[in-house]
Amino acid sequence: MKYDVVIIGAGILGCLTARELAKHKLDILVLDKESDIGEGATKANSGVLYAGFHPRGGSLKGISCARGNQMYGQLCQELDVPMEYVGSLFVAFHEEGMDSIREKMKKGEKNGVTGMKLISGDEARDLEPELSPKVIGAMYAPTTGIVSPFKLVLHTAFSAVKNGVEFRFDTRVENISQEKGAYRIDTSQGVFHGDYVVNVSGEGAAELERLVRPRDLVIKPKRGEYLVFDTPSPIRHVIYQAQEQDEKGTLLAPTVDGNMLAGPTSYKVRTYRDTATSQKGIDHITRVAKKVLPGLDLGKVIASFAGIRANIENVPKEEKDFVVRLSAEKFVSALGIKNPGMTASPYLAGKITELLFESGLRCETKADFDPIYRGKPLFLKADPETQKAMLRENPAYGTAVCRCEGVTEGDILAALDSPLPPHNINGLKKRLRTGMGRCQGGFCSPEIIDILSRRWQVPPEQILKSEPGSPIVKGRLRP
Amino acid sequence: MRVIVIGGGPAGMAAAVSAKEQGVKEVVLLERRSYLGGVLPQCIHTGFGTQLYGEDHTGGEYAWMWKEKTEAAGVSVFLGTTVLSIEKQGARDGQNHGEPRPAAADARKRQENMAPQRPHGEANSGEPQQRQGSGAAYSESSQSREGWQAQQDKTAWQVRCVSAAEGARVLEADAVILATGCRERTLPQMLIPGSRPAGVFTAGAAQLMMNMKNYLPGKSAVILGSGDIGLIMARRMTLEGIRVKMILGQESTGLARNIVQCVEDFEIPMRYGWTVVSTHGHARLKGVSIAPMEGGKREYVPCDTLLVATGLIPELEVCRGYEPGEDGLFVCGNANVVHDLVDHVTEEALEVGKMAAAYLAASGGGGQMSRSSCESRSTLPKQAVGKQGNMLCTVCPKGCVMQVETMPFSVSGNECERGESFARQELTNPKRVLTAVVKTDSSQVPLLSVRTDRAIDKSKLFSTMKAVKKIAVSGPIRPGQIVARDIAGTGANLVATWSVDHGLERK
Repeated sequence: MKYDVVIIGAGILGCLTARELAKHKLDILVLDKESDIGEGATKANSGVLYAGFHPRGGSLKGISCARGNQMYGQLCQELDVPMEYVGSLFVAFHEEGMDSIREKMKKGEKNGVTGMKLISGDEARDLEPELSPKVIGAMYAPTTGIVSPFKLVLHTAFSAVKNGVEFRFDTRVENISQEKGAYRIDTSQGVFHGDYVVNVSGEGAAELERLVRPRDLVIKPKRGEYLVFDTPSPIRHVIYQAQEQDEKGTLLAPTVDGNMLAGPTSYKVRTYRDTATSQKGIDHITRVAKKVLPGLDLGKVIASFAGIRANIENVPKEEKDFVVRLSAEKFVSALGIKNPGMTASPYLAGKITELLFESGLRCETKADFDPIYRGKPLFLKADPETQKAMLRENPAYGTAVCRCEGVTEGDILAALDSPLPPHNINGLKKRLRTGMGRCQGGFCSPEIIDILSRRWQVPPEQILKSEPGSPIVKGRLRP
Repeated sequence: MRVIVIGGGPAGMAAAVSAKEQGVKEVVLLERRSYLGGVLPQCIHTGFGTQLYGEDHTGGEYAWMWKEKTEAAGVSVFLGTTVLSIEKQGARDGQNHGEPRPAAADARKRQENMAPQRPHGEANSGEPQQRQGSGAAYSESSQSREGWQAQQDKTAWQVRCVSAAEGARVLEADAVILATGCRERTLPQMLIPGSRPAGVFTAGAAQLMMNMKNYLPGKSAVILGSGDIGLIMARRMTLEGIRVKMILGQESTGLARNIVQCVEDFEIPMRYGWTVVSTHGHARLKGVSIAPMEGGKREYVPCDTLLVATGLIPELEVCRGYEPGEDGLFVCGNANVVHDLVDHVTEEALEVGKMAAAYLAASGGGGQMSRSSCESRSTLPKQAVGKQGNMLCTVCPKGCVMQVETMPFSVSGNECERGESFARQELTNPKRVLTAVVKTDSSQVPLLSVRTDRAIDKSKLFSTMKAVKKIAVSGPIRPGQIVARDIAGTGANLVATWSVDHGLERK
């Protein structure tokens, strides 16, 4: 069959675009080379909804960030995604820093950010008692928010599925050509046809665009590393700091789950698979974090991770921006979508659909589009009546598996049965947070291998951590 | 009067039995696993009970002994029951009586309340949110009272727990004893950079997999950490055919007995003062970079498994915000302080059980010091054994370092005559007890831990392992039962050190 729109990339931008298009009577297919939703930058960022004072005033980056930020309130209500406008503090230790903050405010105003105000160091410390006594002043911005990137991308995708969007995974695009007036997409899983193509494949977007137009952008991977601190978070706001000593945009952010993130760094790497953390990265983050929070206990680090940005290299800084354009007839691409990409995504999804409709995509709306998605609560978060019902349905809800994050065997089995189910340990982790707590899977991993092995009727060495070649165990001790 | 003990390992069992023996009417023991014993059943090696009982038990044998004592004492045991949190009575609305930490309280509320969205532009008011009704995850307190009435002059405790049999519920108690043991320090906690592939395990998790779950963690390993668990696993892996390439440690912190019987016996390379500085491999571990801790040239060691054995952290997560020692809250075992020997855990827990009973008996009194001032009573030398003429006796934990001469044979430095016969044996024909696991036909308990009932020639360890690997058993079997006679012609019998299908595990 021929699809109306084929979307390449199931990250947050791809899923939001799919859901947006699903409001119309269209056949939509989303392809991704990975085995799950949101496997690229979407799952490896700070979870921050930027207010919009970082990007150049009036740029697409800036406007889409500020407008996207505003859209999250309603979006998260519809999709049952935990989110909070916690506000941010942009702190300075010297007068030069204060100047740079004033610059940010100007940028923010140009991008349509509201509510920003300058406060003194003491006022900042009133808001954040752990803040360094050396902070002399800060900008407070109420519209900075935090969100769970995992729940966000998952619920967006589930909502899209609910409204008729089809997803295919492990599908790598190998070639795109024209056939009988439509696009022919050759993939590792066969051939697909679509009238319109949306190229939102993140790390692969530049390569993919070259199949239909000459290259003009040089996009290279740039790694951002993070440290994850145990709950409870010592801070409530997102804290940025003015560049004084090569801080490189490293921030501190609470998460909706009560952790704190410190990062990112910004280092060029050779490939998009180079997601290892580095000593210099860890040293950088710990130095910056302790500067802002002198009392920070590094012993509370429980995890670290890294994500790779698609960074445009051949455009001067004063002109660098998100690129959302018609690459060819009926072919829209989004390129160089690094931070604040997630924040900007709802707005950019709108821009992409606009470009599609301007190109002739018919836009008859669906009467039965359902914007609402409700996640199934974890057993331990449900009210007593619901719990009784859940236990009747499956007594396995009473068996705690991940003690750190409060996940039971019943929750795991339910996740395996949901639309777009996980296929490996990391997929389960993304949906349920198993293994994200302080013991980092030490207690729950063996139990989870048991559960998956039994459920999927496969030997334990076929339970993968992530991609093929990542079995957790190498077989049975006594076969 | 009711005491709830959280954790059914050696500490919890001893505390429960002790409290019952001191006359506490109702002692309830909550254990999250489907069996009692805590970490002991996966410790298939010997060395348990040498000080307290003069016996060289395996962990499982020690646990079994205490399981029987626990049942005989009339302790009410609830298996498969995970405790989520505890609260002092009167704290039903979720407000702690401890010092409020705004960020922490809000983070907790955030955790407990899903999707607290606010209209755009409205900053967080900074007020702690009221816990919404839908966030509560425990039943009404009145339903769980079960005919028990709080003493007016004592603080009561509420224990939130969950089990398949009973669902989520709240149990109340006059005193709570935490015996929740430890969790293991992980690689990320050590701020060691690198990739995050499959193949990195904490030593205890790998031990559980190999000794109880019937999983093979990998084929070649590096072990980070030269404490006991690291050394024990080095031996265990080697006996199962996993190539242990190296053990890296800060200093020699293992029992000297283990240095001899785990490292030297198998000639596993060990480096003190070295650590892992990076992990390599995207999907599965390919190798590790190692370097001296003070800095220096890095080396690369190919391996598909990294065992992290770098320390234990008391797991007091359930009592966040409360200090053991106040108002009937006690702690014992590794959750209190990490012990070298289970014998010390038992001794400490017996004391704490008594303290809990005394607390309940005392009128109006409270504030007993429940943190035992028990330091490790180990008198073991921490030095590794030299090779020239010195010998470490490993008969008992004293570990006398002896001066042994040959031609003519003489021994000095031993505190008892067992040292001399040990020295003779080591020189002429060293012997070791072999501990291992055999396959069972039970899906719940796929492996049964076993031991030889006497020491066998050290040279016969691997050939005996070959015979052990061929054995498969059917339950019911209990500890002590002979599983195979005269295994591999060693003259020793192979006996069970745990149980299968003996009603110990839940169906």
